[in-house]
Amino acid sequence: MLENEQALIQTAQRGDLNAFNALVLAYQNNVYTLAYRIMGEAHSAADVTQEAFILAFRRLSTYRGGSFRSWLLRITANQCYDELRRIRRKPAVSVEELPYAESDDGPALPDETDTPEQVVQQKELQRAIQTCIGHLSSDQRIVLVMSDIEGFSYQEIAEQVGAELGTVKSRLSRARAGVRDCLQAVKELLPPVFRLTSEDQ
Amino acid sequence: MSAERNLNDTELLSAYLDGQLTIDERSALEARLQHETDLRRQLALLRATVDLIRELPQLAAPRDFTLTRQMLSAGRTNRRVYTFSLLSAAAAVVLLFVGFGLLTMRTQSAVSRTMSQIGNNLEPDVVSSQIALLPTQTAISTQSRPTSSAEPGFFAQEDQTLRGADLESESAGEQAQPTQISLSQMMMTSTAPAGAIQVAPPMAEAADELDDATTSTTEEETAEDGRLRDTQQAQSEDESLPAPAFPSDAMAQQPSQEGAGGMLAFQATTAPPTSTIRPTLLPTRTSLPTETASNTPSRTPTQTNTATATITPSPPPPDPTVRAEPTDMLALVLIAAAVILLLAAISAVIIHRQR
Repeated sequence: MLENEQALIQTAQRGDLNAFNALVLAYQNNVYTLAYRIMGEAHSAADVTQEAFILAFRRLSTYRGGSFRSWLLRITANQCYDELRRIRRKPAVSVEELPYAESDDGPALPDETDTPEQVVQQKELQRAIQTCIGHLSSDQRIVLVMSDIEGFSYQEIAEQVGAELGTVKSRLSRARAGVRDCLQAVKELLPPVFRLTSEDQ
Repeated sequence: MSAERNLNDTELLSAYLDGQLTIDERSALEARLQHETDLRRQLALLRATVDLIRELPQLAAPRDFTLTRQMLSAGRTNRRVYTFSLLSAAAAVVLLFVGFGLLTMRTQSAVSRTMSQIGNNLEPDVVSSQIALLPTQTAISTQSRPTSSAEPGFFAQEDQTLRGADLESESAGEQAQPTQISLSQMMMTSTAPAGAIQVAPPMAEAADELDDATTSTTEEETAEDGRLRDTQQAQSEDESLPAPAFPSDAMAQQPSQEGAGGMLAFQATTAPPTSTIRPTLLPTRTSLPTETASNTPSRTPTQTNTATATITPSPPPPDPTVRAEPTDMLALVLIAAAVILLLAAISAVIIHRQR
């Protein structure tokens, strides 16, 4: 969180675009990552990110305090949801082709503790996980990303997606089970617990 | 059953990982975990999956997403375009509704007026024929209004002739009744399926022959219709009156078109077992009756009985639907405006999306 975040927000609420752009620069990685994890494709994720910031600037007057990051991510998740519905309604390219097809996660933020070999393996595993997330339904995908990647609570997700708490719980468990089963295809990249379990089964 | 249990277990384990179970649920699950190896494996697997997802790294944005004034104004243009399109579409729907509403109201009022007029003028011995005729007139007024504007008027006149007929017949009055049925049969033959009317057995043969006669003239009538309509239209324009739009309109208009002294005469000839009806419209109406009459001699060389009915139709009350012609125009203008608005809305959205 920025030190002068609240001051920037108040200035931006008066229509100051420079103040808002300072907030954009501070949160664009978070917003883009969420968009990418849900959309599964760099181009769509970038479009959604841009639209989310435009929408956020217009709706800045509705921000009533609390975590600005959460507020911004909720707007982004909504944008993703709308975009996924739009793609499903009128796919410009095939749905299988659009997200997660040989997709590159793009540059991850650097982690200097890993060796080059580990980096390659990690990247492959991340790509596999992303692909598995992409195989979920859009409802399950949004709940999974908001819960397990962005750390929203069940209650926050329920408010965000307009569903009952039980529905969120059910969607999340199905999404996790879906990714778990999907990852069996790349078990050589997975931790030992996966291999042991699959052999036992 | 097993799959359902697995699903329930997965949901329990998933909520357990997030600390979302109640105290009782948690206790029960932990008790099961102590005894059920498979459940423990499932929990380990699910936990490992969640950990993998949570470890996905945060990505670096591929570019800066800072905003410019142009981006914001483009968004406003979007809203303007969509607002315009929505308003146009809404206006188009309203205009279409009003336009078609006007047309429908006008059609329904004309039909109901025609039916009530027929109902008021019914006589007991022609009830069956008139009832059979009703759907025909309705069909004419709602479906084939332009092409039937002359013909129904003619038939309606003949009906009036029959109803108010002061029959002058050499034979007994009993010959007049079969004549009426035959005439109605002729009308049905010309405008409706032949099976729509029941003919009494003694008249069946006569009706069949009459069918032949009228069928042969129907084609000629159809050919004549165009000319007849043109003539009527010309007359209407000459008299600064709108052209009749419905059978009832035509009925009301007819006497004035034929002049003040317009007189209808009806001649019916019955010669069992062959019978022929020879309706004649005097003095100006020439197309249909004349053709029918011209067919008569060749088909009925022996004419034994002749019934002649003469009537001077009273001037009809002015029909408001005749003056309602501008309503049609208004409805058409409204519908056209609605179509234009719809096209504008669709074009705006398409053009905007292409940009």
